[in-house]
Amino acid sequence: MHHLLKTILTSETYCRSAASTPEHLEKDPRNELLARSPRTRHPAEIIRDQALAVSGLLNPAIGGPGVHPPQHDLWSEISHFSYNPPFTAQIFLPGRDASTLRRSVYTFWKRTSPPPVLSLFDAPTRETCAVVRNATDTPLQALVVMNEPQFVAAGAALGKRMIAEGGASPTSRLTYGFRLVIGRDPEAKEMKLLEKSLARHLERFTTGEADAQTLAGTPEQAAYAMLGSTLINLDEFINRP
Amino acid sequence: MNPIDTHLNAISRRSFLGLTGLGIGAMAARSRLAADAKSLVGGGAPAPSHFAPSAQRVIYLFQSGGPSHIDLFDYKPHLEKVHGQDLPDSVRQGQRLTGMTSGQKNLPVCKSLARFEQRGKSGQWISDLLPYTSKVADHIAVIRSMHTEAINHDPGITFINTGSQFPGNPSMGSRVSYGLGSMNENLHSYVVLVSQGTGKNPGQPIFSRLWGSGFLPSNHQGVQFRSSADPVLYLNDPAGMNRSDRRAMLDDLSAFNHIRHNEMADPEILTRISQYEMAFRMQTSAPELSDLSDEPDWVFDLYGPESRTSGTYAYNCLLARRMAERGVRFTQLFHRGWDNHDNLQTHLANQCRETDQPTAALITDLQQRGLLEDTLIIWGGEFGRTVYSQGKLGTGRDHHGRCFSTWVAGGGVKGGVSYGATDDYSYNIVENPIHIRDLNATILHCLGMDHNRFTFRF
Repeated sequence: MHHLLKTILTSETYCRSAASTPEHLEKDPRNELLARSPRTRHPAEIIRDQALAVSGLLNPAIGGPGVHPPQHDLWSEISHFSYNPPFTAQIFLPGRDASTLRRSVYTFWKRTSPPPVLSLFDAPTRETCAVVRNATDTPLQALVVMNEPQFVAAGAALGKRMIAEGGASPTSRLTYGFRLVIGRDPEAKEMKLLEKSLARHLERFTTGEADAQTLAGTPEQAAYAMLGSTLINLDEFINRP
Repeated sequence: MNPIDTHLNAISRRSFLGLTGLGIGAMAARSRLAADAKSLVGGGAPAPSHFAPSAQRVIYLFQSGGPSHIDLFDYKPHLEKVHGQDLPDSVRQGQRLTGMTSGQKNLPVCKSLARFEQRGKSGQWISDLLPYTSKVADHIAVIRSMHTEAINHDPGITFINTGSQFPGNPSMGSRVSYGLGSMNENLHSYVVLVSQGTGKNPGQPIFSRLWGSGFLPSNHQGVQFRSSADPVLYLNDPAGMNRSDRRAMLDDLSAFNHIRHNEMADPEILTRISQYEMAFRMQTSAPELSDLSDEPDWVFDLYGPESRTSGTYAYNCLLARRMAERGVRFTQLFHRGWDNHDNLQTHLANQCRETDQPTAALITDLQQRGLLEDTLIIWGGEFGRTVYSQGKLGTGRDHHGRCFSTWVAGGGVKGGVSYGATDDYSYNIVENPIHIRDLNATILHCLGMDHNRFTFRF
């Protein structure tokens, strides 16, 4: 078995990148010839967990009862709610402490109204056995990563982390943030984009064209928060690279 | 699983959906291709059909809890004579009852709470509890011979909405979304609106599986429009961010993703870019949809005073019309409170008062706008109610699946018609039974789909 696994793992095929060319896609759209590695979207839990992780917000505590990351009270809209909380899951009571920032595997699961952040990314309902998960790509997912409060907080925290831990120069801070999220250095083209984007955000927040205070604090913090959010929305972050 | 199949399953959604060889119904696949060409969420141009559709869209007014057909649509003069007498065994025929009445010593037959009258030119029998529906009697076709095996809410409501009493199957709306795709670029093809009646408050619970996508891809699940500042979940940008900030962020995001696409040549990246753009458009189109400030007073008068209050059934009926105008394929209202086990007199009257006027208004309004002819409207619940009383005579009615009434209108339906018949007790069907699956197949038929040729293998 060890021999088999080693052979697979060290094979040229297994080590291939997911990069492709239009020519390859044309000749082998289903990748039956294994010229490239499959490029799949991360599962729901990983998308949320890694956003919390790269921003430094993730609470790594292990074990214990389920937790309730804040969400809209979708429960009472559909439930019987004739019993007093907290004995039943008829009304959603958001968690208020650091437990809400734990890994998604700890998120309390109400099967008749699953947590939307996870179900919108195709987490199965757990009402029936799922042999395979879908990997859809929808505008509602875009709205989650752009606007769901924990993802917004993750973007802002990532921005702060870039300022605090990324050195003094914008270049080193941007490189640091990019490395945290994507796991590689930005290419020259990407670096140029990052710098241009930072400069534009800074200008808008400094001149008051955009509201830094409400969004994240100082104009600098707000500009980095915007970049933090942009980074965790990158296709390369949501997909397996 | 065969490892080669596993590998093939790992291919991208886009190329997967382009392959009819994997067993996706040809129509659905063509629709998906059309949809992908326009990079939309639930589809693109209307797809080629199995046969000519009589409806382009559906508005499903689901009355959750089981409305009493005996008091609303199924006129039984015989009940006047046997009012208060025990239900004869020859009628009950040993049918199992729910635990709520199976222990009762007597099953006293209760006549309709309201007077019936023939309405419109067609002479449909409708009770006084529905005065507004009575006025549109010539538009609706009442099916008096609906039936289901389920006798309790959870399996019953799951059955009629997904075709099975067990969870895991796609809802009607997501089937339609999958099969036909969307007709607009800014909204979803399947939208859900939930409201709570005062008939029984709180009502029976409902579940997101009723609008779930089951084994279909989750982009076909119903999107709930809610009566809050965020009509669609996470629609609003964070506090402090304005539209130009969001636009600037999306421009950057798109530039980064394009760089990546140049390297990977993965068409999924372009799809993601377009989904973000659709999200941006939805941030405008969804609030515009639920902003009723451009509706004139006569419209609110038509739907009734509650149509000005968000979250009510009347408001949702008005929203349903706006969705029809904007090309939403399948709009489904879930209105709770019809589970009238007790206080039937008060609760049923309340339910009817809240729903009757807006329901009829929707038909009138769609007709005035020329939309009724290709919009299929369905009004009904998961089962009916018993002719015998739960508790003392006239107090309430228990669940009854052996027969109940549902009506359909618009979208190729012949109005002013009654279909099927029940016995003198409105207990058993004596003519033209329509199983809830038959109704669902008919809905698909009206949309141009042959349910036997509409499959999804996975």
